[in-house]
Amino acid sequence: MRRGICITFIVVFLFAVCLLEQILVSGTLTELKQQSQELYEITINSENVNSQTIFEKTSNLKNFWQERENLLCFFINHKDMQEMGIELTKMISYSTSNTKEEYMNSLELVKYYCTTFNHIMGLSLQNLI
Amino acid sequence: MITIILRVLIIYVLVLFVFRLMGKRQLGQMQPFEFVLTLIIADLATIPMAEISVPLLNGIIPLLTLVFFHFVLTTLTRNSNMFSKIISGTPVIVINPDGIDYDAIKKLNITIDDLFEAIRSAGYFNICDVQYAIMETNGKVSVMPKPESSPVTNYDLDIKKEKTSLPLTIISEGKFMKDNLSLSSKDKNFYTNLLKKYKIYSIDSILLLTITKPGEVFLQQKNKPCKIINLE
Repeated sequence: MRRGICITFIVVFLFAVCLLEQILVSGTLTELKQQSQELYEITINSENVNSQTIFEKTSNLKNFWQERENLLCFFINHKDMQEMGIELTKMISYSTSNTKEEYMNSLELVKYYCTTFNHIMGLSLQNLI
Repeated sequence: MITIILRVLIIYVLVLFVFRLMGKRQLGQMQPFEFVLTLIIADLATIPMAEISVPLLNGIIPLLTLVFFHFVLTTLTRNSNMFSKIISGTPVIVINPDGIDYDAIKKLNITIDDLFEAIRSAGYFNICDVQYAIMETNGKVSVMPKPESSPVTNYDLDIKKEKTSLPLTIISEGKFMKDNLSLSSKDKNFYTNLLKKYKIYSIDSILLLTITKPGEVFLQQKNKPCKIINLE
């Protein structure tokens, strides 16, 4: 009876963890992709990347990622998530120094990571095999 | 470093919990699927221990998944003979009254030397003494000797002996075992008075005191020889 209760608890725990991870990962990557796409549309049409709007949006993007990264760290290997944080930090720096080309490159990488991180973090055939 | 220490402690407690949950069979003679499980658990536990970048859940989740899967497998093997045969196999008679079953040992992929080693481990050095030898599903060999080679029992010699019971440990390393105390139908005073008869005034000095139903007491103090006392 006691073992049955433990097993039930384990099953519930496993299910809850899997569900939480999937919601967190897909929610984070979807939101990040959306925000970076919005940022892309703003920056592609502007000459400078050091405007108040772009800088704020870039900072918001970076803060959003940092908050979510703290939660994702419970589920995903820290090393697998490093690149996103690095690119977002670079974007802040490029925005400050108004180097549009590097800024756009980093933004493209961020968009790319949003798609490919699903393979690393989420449930996918590539992960399974 | 503190992080690593804490991680090691958490994983250690979890692995202990996992083995306790799997039952005593896990620690004794293992079936093939249990042996596989033990090997995997050992490896899984070490992954998040020393590598801080790996989340602790990466060790916890696989361990708990294996516990659950083990529970499912053992339930299925307990409730289904067919499933039990698929997972654990069946015992195979390797020696019968006609001698060694060559087809059986070929199917089991063992050599004659392996068979002899197993029979010697069972206490029989001469194959002529063996009537049946069965290779169990956990790899051990059980031997049934021929009647003329089997150990003599009291029954064979028509010797009648009194019934005995399992010895109860009453005092172990200076402490009363409360559950066994109640089973022995005697209270602490009885034992303290018994000890006083042998000039022992404190139970702290007692290494072991056991009692069996007919009234045989094994008493040993720390760093002293034992005494066997008959209460009747």
